[in-house]
Formats: sequence, C-alpha cells, structure tokens
Amino acid sequence: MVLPPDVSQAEFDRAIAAFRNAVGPDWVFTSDDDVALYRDAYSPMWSEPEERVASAAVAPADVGEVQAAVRIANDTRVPLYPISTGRNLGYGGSAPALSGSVVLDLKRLDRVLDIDEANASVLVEPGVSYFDLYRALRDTGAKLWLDCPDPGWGSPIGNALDRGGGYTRAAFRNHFDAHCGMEVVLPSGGLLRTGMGAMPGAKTWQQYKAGFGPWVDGLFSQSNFGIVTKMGFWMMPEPEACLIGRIYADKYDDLHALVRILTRLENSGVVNGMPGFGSPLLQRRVPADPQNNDPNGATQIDQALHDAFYTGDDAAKALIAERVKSTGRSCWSALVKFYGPERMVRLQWEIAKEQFGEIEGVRFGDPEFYGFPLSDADLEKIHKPTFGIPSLSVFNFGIRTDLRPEPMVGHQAFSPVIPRTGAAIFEANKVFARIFTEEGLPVPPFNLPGCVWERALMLICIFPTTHDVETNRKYRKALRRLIAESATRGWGEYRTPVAYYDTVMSTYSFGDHALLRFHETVKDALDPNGIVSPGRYGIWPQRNRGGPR
Amino acid sequence: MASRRDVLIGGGSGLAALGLGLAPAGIAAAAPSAARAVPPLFLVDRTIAPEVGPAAERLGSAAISYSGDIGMPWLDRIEPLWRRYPQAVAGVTYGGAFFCLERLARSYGLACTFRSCPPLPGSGQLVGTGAEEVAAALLTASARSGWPRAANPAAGEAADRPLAWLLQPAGNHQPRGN
Repeated sequence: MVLPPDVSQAEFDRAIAAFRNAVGPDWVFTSDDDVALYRDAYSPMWSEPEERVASAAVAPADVGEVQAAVRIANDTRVPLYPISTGRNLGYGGSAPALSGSVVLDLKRLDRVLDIDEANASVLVEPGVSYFDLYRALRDTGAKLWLDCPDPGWGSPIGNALDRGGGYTRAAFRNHFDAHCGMEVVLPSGGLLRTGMGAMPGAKTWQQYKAGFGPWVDGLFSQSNFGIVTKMGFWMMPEPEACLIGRIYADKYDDLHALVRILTRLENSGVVNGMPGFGSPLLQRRVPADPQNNDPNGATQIDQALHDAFYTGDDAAKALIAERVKSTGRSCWSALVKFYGPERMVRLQWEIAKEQFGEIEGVRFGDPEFYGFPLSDADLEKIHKPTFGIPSLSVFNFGIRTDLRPEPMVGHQAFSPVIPRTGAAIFEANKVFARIFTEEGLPVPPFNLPGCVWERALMLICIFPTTHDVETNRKYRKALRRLIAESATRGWGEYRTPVAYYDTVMSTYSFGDHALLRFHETVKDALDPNGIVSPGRYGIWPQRNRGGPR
Repeated sequence: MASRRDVLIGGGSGLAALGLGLAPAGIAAAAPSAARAVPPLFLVDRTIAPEVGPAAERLGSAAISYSGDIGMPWLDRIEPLWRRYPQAVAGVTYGGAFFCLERLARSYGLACTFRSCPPLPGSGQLVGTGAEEVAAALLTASARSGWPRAANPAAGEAADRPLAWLLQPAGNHQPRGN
C-alpha cells in the first residue's frame, strides 16, 4: 500500500478510522485486492514506480457523507481523489493523479433526481451512468435523447467535468456546455450551488445557466477546486427524423473546400448534427458513420498510397489520382447529419448539396433517412450514440485481429485541437508523421479529424498501452514530444491522460504561465490543505509544489 | 442481519448462507445436482456460433443472443440480474464485450474464473467446479460449430477471435455502478 507522500502511517490510520465512522465500515476499502480494482487498466506507466495508485477508497452514500469525508481529509491532510463512475479509460481510469490518494468513489450517489420533459432537462448525481439515465428516460416515456460518448458506462457528470464530447447536435455534444447548474462540495466541506441554484427555492435551476454575478461553473471542470455532487443537463428533444448525407470529392486538394463549406454550413445552422471527414480511398471511415460501426476498420495498407497522403507533392497527387481512377473510390468523403422535422431535414440536405456543388466533380450518396423509434434492424447496425443510445461497441477497438495478432492492452490518446481548415489537417499530419518516424514508431494512417467541437477540429491519435515497460516508455517519450512540438505551432491538447497533465499544462504558458499561476492562486484559496485531487490537470496545491508528488 | 457488502464479499457461499440460490428455481427442479452450477445467463454473439445459444438453454441457462454491441444486453438483462445479487454469467463473445463485462462485474461482486481463446477444445485448463463443466460443455458445442464465423482473413477483413468465459461471484468488489 502506498501512502500519500507527506502523510504518516499513524495519520493515515486515523483517517481510515474516521472514514469508517462517517460512511460505515462496509464502504471503506483498504485491502490490496479491493484497492487494486481502482488501478488504471490502461496506465501507460503500468508497474513502473511512476504508476499512480490509490491507498484506499471511500464510498459515501450521499452529499452529507461526502462533506464528512472532506472534513476528515482536512483534519488528517489525507488527499482525496473523487471519481464518478471511474470509467475514464484512456485518460486515467479511476487512478489518482497523486499516488497514495484515497479514491472518493461516488458510484453510490446514483439518483436521477429530476426529468423535466417540457424543459428538456435532467438533474443527476455523479454515480448515474449514461445507461442509467437512458433507462430512466425510457421508463418515464420522456421523448428526450441523451448525448453520450462512445462508451455508455461513464457518468454524464464525470464526462462533462472532463469536457468530453458526444455525437448529436452541437448544443448537446459539448457535454460541459450542455450542463445547467451544479452543486459542489468545496474543499472546506461547505456546499455551493451555482447558477440559479444559488437562490433558495429557485424554480429555474435547470433553465437558466448564469444566475447572478460571475459564472463560476467552469472552475469545476478539468480542475480540483471542488467535488460536484449534482449537475443539471439540457437534453435533446427526440427529433421527428434524422437524415444523413454523404459527399464525395476526388482530388487531393478538394479537402480545403470540403472543410470550408462544411464549416460554413455548420456555423450557419444548416448542418446541425456532428459532421465528419473520411477517405474512401484510404478506407478511412468517417467517425460515427452509422453504416460502419466497426471501430477497427482494419485493412491492409497500400504503402505507396499511405505515403502519398502525407507527402502531398505533385507526384503524390498524381499517384492518388491514378488510384482514384483505378479503384473507383473517392479521395475524400464528408458526412453530414440533420435532425428535425422530415420536411426540414430534406430541405437542409438540398441546401447542403447546393453549397458543396462548388467543388468540381463532387458527388452525393443517396441520403439515409431515419424515423423514430428505430427498427430492430436499424438498431443492430447503427452507431447508437448518434441516436442518443448508449453503447459499448467501441471496446471492439484494439481487439485481436488477423492484422493485430496481439490485442492492445489499452490505449492513450494524443488529441490536439487544430484550426478548422484543410491546411491545418495536412500540416498536422505531416508534423506527426515526422515525429513518429524520428521516434522509430510506425506512422499511422492519415488522420482525419473529429468535428466534435464547433469552430475547431480535433485530431485523435491513439497510442497503445502495454504491460511492457520499455514499450510504454517509448510511447510516452513520443507522446510528450508530440505535445511539445504541437504547442510550438499553437495546437493544444483538449484533455490528456494523467501521465501528461503537467506536460500539457506547461504548454499553456502565455505570460510566463499566468494561467497556471491563476489556477494555483484559486487552489490555495479554496483548498489550503491541498486535499482535493492534488495534481489533477496539472494543478498542484502549495504542499506538493516543488515537493513530494 | 447480513449487509449488502456481506453478500458481495461472500459471493456464492454468502448467498448460500442467505438461502439464495445461484440458479432460478425452475432450473434447480430440472437438474437438482447441477442447480448451483448452471449460469442463469449465457451470452452468445450470434455472429460467432449461433448454435451455442440453444445448447446453453438445453443445459438450463437462459441464452442471450446479440450481435456486436453488448450495451443493450447489459442494460436490459445482465445488470438487472446482478442488481438483485451476484450470479454467474457465461459467454462466448468477442474480446471487446468480455472486457466490458469483466470490468462491470467487479462492481457487482463477480470476477472472471475461466477464460479461453479458441482454437477449441483443449486450449483451456478446466478445473472441476460444476459451472466450469457447464461452460466446457458449451465450449465444446461452440467448437463443433466452427470458429470463427465472422472472419474472412483471405479477404483482409478484421477477424476478431472469440473468447469463452465465465464470471462468478468473488470476494472483492467496488461499489455498484455501470
């Protein structure tokens, strides 16, 4: 068992005894076997001294017990690491940022407190998963969709606080932006409600976000300034229809126009579902393509073609043009989704086709049209989160295949935010390919970005994690270099695994790290004992700065 | 009075002490000597070997046939079963589904006690509890049906390999959550 770095065994034992008294002995976990369940299965530091591991876990049943645990932590200076459902695989799982922290497991706070169909909103606790919320919506018959990430076992609160994303309309797939009001246990043990919730007896907590005065909700996302115990979310009313259209362009340089037109359509509200880009020629599917829900999409690589997409010079373009002709596959595809009344989505598709018509030789696939409820046949084949349905199919990614005889143990993501232009896509791919090559790693297929966020693009490069120390070290070195070299070009990570918190935070360095100093000022004011999630997202309390971590 | 944690920690023996069987009453009546061995649920990805489902049902398990995504079987069948108390579940699935269920099982007091990757039979070390024998019989049935059904390596398609597995009540756990 690993103790927190500056806590004695006696103090730790005193904390555990107090936790048992506060939440009941059944809900304090100290045995090696129990604590091991909180280990990050995807840790890129597996079995190394740097791997972050918990010392114990405490599972309170309600807000009062959360407050009690926080007060004990203040008294004993034992750091807590709150988790919601702890499914944050690829970004740290349920393991703490500081080894020896006690995991504050909030899975028992699992109530859906309110479903307001007329307002299209819900109020939930952190232990509620997307599956739980889906079931609750279904049981009440509310015609509301939830927007979920690919794995449906996570928590809407946990995912929103990590600023995760989903797949439906922009207003909902940015999960933090879709929230409306929160309740927070502060590091002091006090209780705060934000927005309209600050008014006792408020009637509009899930209707109006800002309340009065500074809007502080953002301080509790990707941070360690408090423990969120309730959160409201706006839900998407079930649409009458969904139409999915496909656009195909044959020339390598068409990507510029494809991105520009699609962005204009989305910014003007014509395209209102999550769009995406693919390459039929490279057999790179559009993310969340309802007709291709195989997350592996593994195919043999045409190495010359693969290289040509990175090179992009005249010879490469000629090769690509020849392959387009010989295979009959387009160089690029775009996928657009429309949610709304049937007449409207059909008209939106016509407008989109008109605008994409600017691209010489552009072609359009037959649109797919979905009404609701979906048929059983549709449910078998679709990408469920596109339709507000939680799923676990993403875990078929990385499994054993003929092209991957050894299945991945896990993965970690390098996910920089880049400008929404074709030029940025080409430049980022070239930079990343060079780094992969220089680091002695195989260059992955040309990466087409996700359009989760409005206005920007996000590339997601998946690195495997293994149980081999040297392999993991090699990937960590490459990933750190990618983070650093991206930053020199103005591309920053939107989120990162625990191992890279400090590395990424150091790249947000404008004004001699003014943002980090602001974070630290807030941290010291709210949490002088440094007991809530030390080190989370690179924010360390005074006691750990320059000292034991 | 036993707490919920006692039930979870105690696993099968804890349940027996509480007078809760591991198998539905109907199964116990049909095969009393094997009543505690038969997993109440058997998951089958029908793209692998559809024959496994009927074979499991003949042996007393309720078979859940699905394709690809374990999400809805989890939501509608497995989680409600485990929410009542931890009960064994067996399966012949792809690796991704097993990965999810094995992790979810931890929150309900279950752990993997048998796992085998084809070719079958004979690749796994079967040890002699009744439940594992049931799984072995089903694995044999699976092997006879031919693996893998979904793959066509010659065409360069992804060829995920199936797994046969058994999740049973175990000692350690996390708080429930899905």
